[in-house]
Amino acid sequence: MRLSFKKLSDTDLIDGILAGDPDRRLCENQLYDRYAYFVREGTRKHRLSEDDCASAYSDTILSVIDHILTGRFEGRSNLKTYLYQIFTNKCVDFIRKKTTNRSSVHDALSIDDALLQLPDSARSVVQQLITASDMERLYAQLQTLGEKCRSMILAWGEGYSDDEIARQLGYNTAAVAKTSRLRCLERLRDSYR
Amino acid sequence: MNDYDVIDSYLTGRMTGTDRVAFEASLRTDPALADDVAFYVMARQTAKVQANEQRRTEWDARRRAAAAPVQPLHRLGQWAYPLAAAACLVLALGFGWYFLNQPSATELADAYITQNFTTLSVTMDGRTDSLQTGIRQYNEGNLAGADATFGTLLQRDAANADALKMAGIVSLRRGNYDQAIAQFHRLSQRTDLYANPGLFYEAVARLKRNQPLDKPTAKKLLTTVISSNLDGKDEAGKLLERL
Repeated sequence: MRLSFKKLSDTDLIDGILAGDPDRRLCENQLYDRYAYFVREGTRKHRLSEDDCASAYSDTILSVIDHILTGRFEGRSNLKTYLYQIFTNKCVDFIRKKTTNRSSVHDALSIDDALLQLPDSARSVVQQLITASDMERLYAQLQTLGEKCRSMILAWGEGYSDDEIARQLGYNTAAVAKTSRLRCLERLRDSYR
Repeated sequence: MNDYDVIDSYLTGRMTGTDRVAFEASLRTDPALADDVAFYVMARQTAKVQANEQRRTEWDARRRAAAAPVQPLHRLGQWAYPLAAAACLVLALGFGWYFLNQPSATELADAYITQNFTTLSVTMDGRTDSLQTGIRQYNEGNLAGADATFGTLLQRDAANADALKMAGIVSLRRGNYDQAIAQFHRLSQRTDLYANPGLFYEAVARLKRNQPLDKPTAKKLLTTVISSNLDGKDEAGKLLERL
């Protein structure tokens, strides 16, 4: 699906995000722009600073994108209502914490989904290994990885398929992209250990 | 197939059947595989966090580029809306007062005409030529008679600049603005006169007629009068200030 620059409906935006690149990124940006006025409302209604509200709003958009990609957004309410509810909750969280989660790696991590796929006996072992790991150092190591490797790993983290990564980064096939991605993962592990 | 390839297949659900069962069995007994799985999961989540950070930065730049920084209204608290409404009212009254008290172009022209064209000076040498006759008629309020006298004079002597000036003034007083503008324009084209108020009078006549392009044209003419140091320069400056 190639999108024009006309004003997209909620359905168009959701379809575009699900379609993957290049439409996904365009639709994500359009979604962000469409309700960016929430930031101003947040400053007035919740008496937060503009930066805090903008941070809460970005978190909201990321959550909604994640919910769309994972099927958690079921379309029972319209996108604006859904987004506004999440934004309000995040603003309330900000008021409670009086701090942002920008600098914290752990707060933003949600590894439960991946661990849930493991059998019970293995899950606790892997969970303990993760808990004992230095996540901050891994975060820093990822930043020092070569540009192409880092782009590839970040795209994988965002949920892009190997086929989409191949198109984004100019690989001939998804298989080649996958091989490169796994090599990059090994490089990251070697630099981490 | 290396370890990460296998882990990838398992966690993305592509591994099925006996391979899946065998993988889960290895995971229970092989600490190195468990360690690789833990790293895989961590790496993906760390990548997601970093990608999200990147998106936040992009969006922030996008938001800032789209709009000037918004001043939070909460600083004004409950007084924000009443203050804004009061400010709007004051501005509206101020603008209203300003515009209602600004004289229109026509009013400016009327004021000039009243002050300068109600009575024309007559030479005291007792001559009874046509020009003086026309001026006397004018001063007596006989505008039609003055118009006819100056018209006859111009027919006899088309180069008579005084007659042309007087004819223009009579046309202006009689409301024949198109004719007055044409007569003052003809006068302004004369280059053989010691003092020529033609351009300034044309500007006054245009202000009085007040058709759509008259005001900007009059402004240009008045500016020319000032910059070229023509007759009526001082009055032109005063009119321009009020236009």
